[in-house]
Amino acid sequence: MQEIYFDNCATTKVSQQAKDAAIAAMEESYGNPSSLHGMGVQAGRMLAEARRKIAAVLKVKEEEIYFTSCATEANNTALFGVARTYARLGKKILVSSVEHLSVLEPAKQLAELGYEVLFIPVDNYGKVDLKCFETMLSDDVILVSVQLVNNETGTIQPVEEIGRILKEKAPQACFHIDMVQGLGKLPIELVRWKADIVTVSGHKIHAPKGTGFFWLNSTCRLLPLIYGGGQEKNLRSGTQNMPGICAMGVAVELAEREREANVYRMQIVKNVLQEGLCCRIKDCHVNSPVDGVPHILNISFPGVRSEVLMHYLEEAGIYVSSGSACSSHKEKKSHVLSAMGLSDDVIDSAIRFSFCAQNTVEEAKIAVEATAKAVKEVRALMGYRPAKR
Amino acid sequence: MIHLLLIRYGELGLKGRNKNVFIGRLVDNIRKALAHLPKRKVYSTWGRIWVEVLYDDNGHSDLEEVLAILKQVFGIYSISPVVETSRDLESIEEAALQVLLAALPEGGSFKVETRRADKTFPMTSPEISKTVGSALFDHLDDRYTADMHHPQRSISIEIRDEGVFVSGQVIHGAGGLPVGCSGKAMLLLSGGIDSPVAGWMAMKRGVKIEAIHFHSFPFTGEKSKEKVIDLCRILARWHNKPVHLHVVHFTEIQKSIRQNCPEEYGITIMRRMMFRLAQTIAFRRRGLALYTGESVGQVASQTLESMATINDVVKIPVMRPLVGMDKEDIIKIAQQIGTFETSILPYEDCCTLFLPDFPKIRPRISEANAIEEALDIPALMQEALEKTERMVIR
Repeated sequence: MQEIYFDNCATTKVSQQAKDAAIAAMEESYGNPSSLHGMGVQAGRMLAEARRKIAAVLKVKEEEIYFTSCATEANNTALFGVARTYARLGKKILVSSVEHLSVLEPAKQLAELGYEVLFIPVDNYGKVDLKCFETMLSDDVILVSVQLVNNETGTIQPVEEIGRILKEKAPQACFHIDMVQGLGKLPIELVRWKADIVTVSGHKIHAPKGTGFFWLNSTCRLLPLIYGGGQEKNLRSGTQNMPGICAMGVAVELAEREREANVYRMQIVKNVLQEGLCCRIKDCHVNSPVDGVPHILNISFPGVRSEVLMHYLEEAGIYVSSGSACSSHKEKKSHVLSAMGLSDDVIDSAIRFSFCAQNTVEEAKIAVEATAKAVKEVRALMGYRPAKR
Repeated sequence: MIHLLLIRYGELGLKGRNKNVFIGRLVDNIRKALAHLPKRKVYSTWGRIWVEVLYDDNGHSDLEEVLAILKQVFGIYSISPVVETSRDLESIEEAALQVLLAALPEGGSFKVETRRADKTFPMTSPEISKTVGSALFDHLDDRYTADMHHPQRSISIEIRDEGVFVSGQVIHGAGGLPVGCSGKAMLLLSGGIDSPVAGWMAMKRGVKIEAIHFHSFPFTGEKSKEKVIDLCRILARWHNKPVHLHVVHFTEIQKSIRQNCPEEYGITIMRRMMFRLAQTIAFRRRGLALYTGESVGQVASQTLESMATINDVVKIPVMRPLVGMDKEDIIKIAQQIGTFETSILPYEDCCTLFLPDFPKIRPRISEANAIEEALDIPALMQEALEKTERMVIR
């Protein structure tokens, strides 16, 4: 059976180029970049090269790139770091209500520690409500954290407007952008967005798991989460994951170089899938906005629970993600779709297809057929009658 | 230095002529439970079982590890760590002091008891107790007192031909009967809180179990199967040997019930099909009974009317060890035996997914029989059994 991997937002397959870079780092330059002897210097050179590649893509200085073990760690560093460093200026932190859990949970922890954490509401497509955001700003805001792209729906946040409003109304605040789902799909314009910190994960762009980095504007300061040997200019102690970092350097470079071609391919796959599903299946609800990213399609088929459809597709060799966890445990409902104000039957049946440039139109057509068949069968079995809307 | 563990098997002593069979089984179970550790002596003599404690080159013993395993062997009533010493009074005193300091490191009340199986020893039992007791006080500060009637710890000295055994601590065992001495039964294992507890209670009475799980992929995912495997792994520790798990392909039956039977009878018919399949597997595997986690009145399918209607399709005995228990009591046991954390993991099982809005609370046998005429039961069962997967979980 042909396997179709449509879960590229969860993680991606490591590319051959990234694999080669990782193997080279393990086989040839296996020294510790902090060592002073020749092997260390050689490893240090490879580390610098990875940093240079990433800095070039982000159009920033290479000494402003810091490697971490993953984007979750980078996000934690951003939130806790800014909160601790700038606590004397104020204690107010704004995060959008559709952030990834690696931003929301640290924010909740900060609230427990006495910070005033406010959640910025979103509209029906998951976009930050700018008017509301503006009213939430004041001179004691120290941090605003908004993602570039939502990982469940593919909604692109208006980061440029957010940055502009923020720097007008609350210039003292740091602007953090979680770019995990944006790199390689959207042009990166950190200066235009007026960002201060951005965070990225390696394994979403065909690098191995266990890699991430953040960019920190040199005008900003941070206190680290992890203390030790002082690597990464004291901001992230611990010996660098050389194979991972070298692979990520190559992967980031590749993601940006091929971005336009990749976006074009993924958009076609998405269009074929979305149009196919909407034509073939009655009563479906597209949760992704029309102007969303090309690699995410979030769609609901009311009457068919996400997990059931996911397993049906799994049986056909198609891997997707259920938009929300088991609905017999209501508290586990997707916070993103809830914040968008969707109804329960839409949330309970949300499925996320997410693509990479290797996916094909052929695969999309197969997925349309398999999904249509599964939805029809489950709806018949469950005695589904469309609700009157 | 603790050299041996003395194991007492309370209830077994009562079993008359079968006693040796039970003891043999218990020794065997202890050996199997310890099989993954370095080889050691496990033997029975003088109405007790003895397990050797091993030391590595650095003088570290595996006492704690062995104790933790033995606490999960049914049939063991209590365990005492024992120091073995030579037959002169000085060594006995030294061993008694060592045992006392280990048993009561912070001080407290104790007494010394002696059993003299070897009557050639020059002193009587009370004399030995008295001499050793007073010798102990030469080495103790005033945090220690003697108490003949309600001591915190008894230091017991046993004098035999083979040597002298001193112990000062009694650790409770799991009780019950050694698994395997009461035949084999099939456990209907859903992945919820109750059924693993029912399995544990079966094992506690010496019943060997094989688990049956009904899997409805794609209505339930791989993860719910993984969850049941994890539960079997926990039960296997109490089983003292690997647990066989039968994963029955239940999807077509679920679909057929959904398509052909009135929704309110869905759960009743589903449970009847599960019982039929479990009975067939039991006959094939020489199981003598079914065990379920049912308790009267918990949910719609567990009213007496439901149980009667469901039970009507099988002739094999159905054991329901939780029948008289409250949910809190069941949860308490699940926490003790280590299945609770796994049981509450949120993966759908087939019961929750196909739950009708209004299930029949008082189904009737005649009605259920009539409804089932719409199903091709032999064909459905054959298909489910052909696609049943058997795994050995250790």
